[in-house]
Amino acid sequence: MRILTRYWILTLAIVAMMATSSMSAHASAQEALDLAIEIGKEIYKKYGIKPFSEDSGFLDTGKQKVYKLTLYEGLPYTFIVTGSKEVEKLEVGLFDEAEKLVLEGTTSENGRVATLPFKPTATAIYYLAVQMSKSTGTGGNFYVLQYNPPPSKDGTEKSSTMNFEVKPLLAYAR
Amino acid sequence: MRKTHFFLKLLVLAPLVLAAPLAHAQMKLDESLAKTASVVVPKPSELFSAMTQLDSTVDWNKVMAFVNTGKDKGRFDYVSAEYRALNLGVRLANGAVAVQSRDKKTLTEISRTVKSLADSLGIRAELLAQADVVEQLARAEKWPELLSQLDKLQEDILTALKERKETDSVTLVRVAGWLQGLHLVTYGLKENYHEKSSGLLRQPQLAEDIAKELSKLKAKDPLIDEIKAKVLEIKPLIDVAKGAPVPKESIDKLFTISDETVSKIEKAK
Repeated sequence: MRILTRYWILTLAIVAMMATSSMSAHASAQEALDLAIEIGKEIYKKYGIKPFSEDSGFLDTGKQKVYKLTLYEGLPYTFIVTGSKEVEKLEVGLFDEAEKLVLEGTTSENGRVATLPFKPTATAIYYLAVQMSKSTGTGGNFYVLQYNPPPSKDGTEKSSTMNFEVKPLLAYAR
Repeated sequence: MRKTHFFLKLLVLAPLVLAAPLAHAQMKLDESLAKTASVVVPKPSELFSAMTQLDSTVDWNKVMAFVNTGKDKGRFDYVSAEYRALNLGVRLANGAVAVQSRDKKTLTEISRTVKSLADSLGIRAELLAQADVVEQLARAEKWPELLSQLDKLQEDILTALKERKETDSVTLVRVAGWLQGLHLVTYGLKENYHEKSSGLLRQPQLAEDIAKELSKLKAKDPLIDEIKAKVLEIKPLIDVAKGAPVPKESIDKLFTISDETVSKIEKAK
């Protein structure tokens, strides 16, 4: 009987630990999303556009998530990556077909937002790498937003060749 | 003498020691991840925007008129989920052309067909309300917002399919959209060849990856096999050097291949 009680207590403890861990993972993912939403709202207010593409996930510290993208000549792209509160340094980099670094993004002071604006000079495959360089724990959640060029205000002209002003976006990571 | 030597060394080494913490280690790509990274198939709207950016003379009204000649453009009564997904991809691409050509009547019709196709794939109603937003924006002629809203609608449909673990449908929507994008751009280029814009079709690696993705599908269907064969036929025609144009003869062949394939998708049972 005593063994049975111990077994139940152990089972309950494991279930409680799993539930707490799942809740904390959920909260962490939500933090990355909330920051992305906050930035997304600001972009919508300023440029009237929504993200072209989105993705999210969890990365262990020191690990990368790699996206294989086709980027078109002449289109200005902006990639924005946000991280959860345990993230201390998120990095984003763009590599060419030969896997050589083309451009590294800019990371905010507290490390939770990284942006990379890029305008290809030729249509090609590029690798976008999101890297969890530093975190307070074993890793953290991230959220990636891809924006395509903001159209001109009345939409009658060709898209602006300017990318977003990234500085105000980086300031969002408080 | 010894003291002088020490100070000299200090003078030489000091800048190096001080600079060391400031030097930023360059980011390195995880090569194993790059090799296994699954390809992100670009949306047709991206290709159309790039084309508009490179060639201001592109006549989207003519391309839209060509789309409107299709007898099955409004159909959504496809028997299999695979054919519904393929046609959803084609219609979303047509919607992106309607935005480029500012054709609100056609966009409204396409939006309704997209809604019916997505509904038949089991996409929940609250998400489909976004298709109504497309119609509202079309009525108000808010074109820049519309392009972004249409992309968002496609993204949300794909996310909903992913959540339901319908990976075959996700692949088919994307592949058909890419194929219709290629079809409509080659139509435009066939009518009015533009060297710089033709270079946008340089995507041999993507064609190869798409064929691989199609091989991974659980669904076995002769039309899907045919699409895969056509994608592999397309690959050498778009395999040009980086920055080089796709020749006019290749554009004509690409149009013929994609025209036949999209027509089979639209006419499927």
